[in-house]
Parts: sequence; structure tokens; C-alpha cells
Amino acid sequence: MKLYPLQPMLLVIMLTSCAAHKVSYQHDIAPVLESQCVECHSSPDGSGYRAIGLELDSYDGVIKGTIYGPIIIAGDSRRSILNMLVEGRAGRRECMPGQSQQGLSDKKIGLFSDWVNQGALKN
Amino acid sequence: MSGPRSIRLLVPICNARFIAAAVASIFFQPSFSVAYELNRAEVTENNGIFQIIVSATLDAPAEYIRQVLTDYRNIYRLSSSIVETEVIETCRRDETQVRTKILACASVFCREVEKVETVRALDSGDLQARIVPEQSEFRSGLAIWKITAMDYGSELEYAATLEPEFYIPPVVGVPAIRSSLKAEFITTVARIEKIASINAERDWSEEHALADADVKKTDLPCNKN
Repeated sequence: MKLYPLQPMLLVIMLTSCAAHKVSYQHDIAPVLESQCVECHSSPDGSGYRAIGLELDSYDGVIKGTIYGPIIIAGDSRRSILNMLVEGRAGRRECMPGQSQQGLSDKKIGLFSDWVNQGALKN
Repeated sequence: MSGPRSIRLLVPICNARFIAAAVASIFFQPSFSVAYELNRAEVTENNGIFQIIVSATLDAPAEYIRQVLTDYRNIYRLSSSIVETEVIETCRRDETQVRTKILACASVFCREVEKVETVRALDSGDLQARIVPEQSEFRSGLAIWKITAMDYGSELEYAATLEPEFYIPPVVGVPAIRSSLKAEFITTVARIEKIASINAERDWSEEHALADADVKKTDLPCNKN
């Protein structure tokens, strides 16, 4: 088999470019959910809970998702509904947080994306 | 969209989502219980035009299946390949334009593909979605959803033609796309049934009319005819 000297170098560059700061659910994600999402997405009276059964006040609730199915595909933020909605990729009306809450900052959106891409761990 | 539109290679990108999508396209099975009966699922290709025919008997009322299919704001629920959606307002009340960006995979090669479709209900009650080529990475495309109420459940028929504008390697790409499309539509049918049956069970009617949708003004001129 013929070896191309650039291939190992390219592989290293590709792998390192995929690396990102390790995001913690407890320290980075849960506080954002608590301050901007739980008001609507908690049982039994939250409007978001009543509409789609989504509880965001616990890790298990986040992973379980809605009555229609999960909102996270671990390792794949681009195809995860959670990330789609907080990034506004499903239209303005579906953008989360909704109602009176302000949208997430770019930094927080990035944390959600990195957390899901890193496997959506309970860390 | 940048670059020449006529020839585009399916470019693999080093990212977990593409690897996950590739693995999912090979091994994915619906993770929820389904009751539908698949009557037919065929994807063929001829001269760059894909023809898709899917027919299934679903355990859900026809009106709720229709509601799911016309809930354009939440259309992302029907497929995990949809990575962006947007409802676009047109000057016609009887039709809606929906822009979607989907992750199209042929084996391990994936790329995001954008399309805009004009969706309308035909006099027959069927739903028609026609691709707007000027705003899509497809030369043409037409899909018909036919929903028939039955004594128990409904029959859902989907027939579509799709002519991608981006380049697909003919030897490995076409069979892989065929296989991927087939798996995708089978999964979509299962999701339609699941959402429709859940909504029927709780008598849920979500606001999905165009007037209530997230709309964006389009620059397209009105067709007065």
C-alpha cells in the first residue's frame, strides 16, 4: 500500500480541530436550564410541559425529551432538536426560550452545542 | 449558497454529527413502538431522477395525520435529518412555502442540502409539495401525500420524484442514496403515526395555520393567474 506523508498530518489536524472545551452538565448546562427554561418546562403546570411533556428540571428529563420523542442525539448537536430550537434553526416562533424569556447568548448556545457534541453526559 | 450549483461533490467533514449520521443510516431502527403496516416502499433512480413510493396503513385517525403533515412549524419532528426549517409567507392563502435544510447521506458521505417547497391542499384533499428550483439544490421535485380514512386507522400514500442538482457519484452514491431515502421515509412514516396517535389520544390540536406560523416575507412576485 502506498503511503502519503500528508495523511497522518491531516488526520491529526482534523482530530484536534474537533476537540473543544469540556462542558459540564452540572456547572454549565443545568444553571441555564434552571434560569431560563424550567419556568415553562416543569410539571405539572409549566406551559411547555403541558404542551409537549418536556421537563428540563433534571438530567433525566432532558434526556427523556418530549412525548413525541427525544430532543437530543448525543454526539450530534446539528440534528438535535434542543440545539435546533435554541439556535433558532426552526423559525422564530419555535425559538427557545420562548415567551417572555430572552434568547440565549451566543456563548450559552455554544455550550449547549459542545455539551451535546461531547455526548450529552451527566457530568 | 456558494460555488457552482451544477456539480458539487458530497464532501465528508470531520465531525461527530456526520459519523453519527452515517452510523445511524446503517443501523437505525425506530426506537419507539410502532403499529403501522408498511404496504410498499420503493426508491428507484433513472437518469438522475429519484422516484419514491411509500404506502402504509397507520394506526391513527386521518384528520390527525393531516394535522401532523400540515404542522409546518414542527416539521422537524418528522425526521432527524432535518437540521433547519422555516415557514415562508407567500401572497397566496391556499399555499405555504417551507424551507428545509436536510442532512443527505450516501454511505459515509454527508452534506446539507437546502430545498424550498410550495405546499398546498389539492381539491381531492391530497397534499402537494412542489420544489422551487431557484431556491433549492434540486432541479425539480414533486410529492403527493394521500391520506385515506379507513374503518380502523388510515392509509397513507406518498409518491414523489426528486431530481438533485448536486453531484452524486453514480456507482456507489446512487444505491446509497436510494437506501438512505428508503430508510428515511420508513422512519418518517413511523413518526407521523406516533405523533398523530399521541395527539388523537389527548385530543390535541396544535395551532399550525399559516396565519399563526412563523412567517418571513418573500421577494417572490405574486402570480396573478
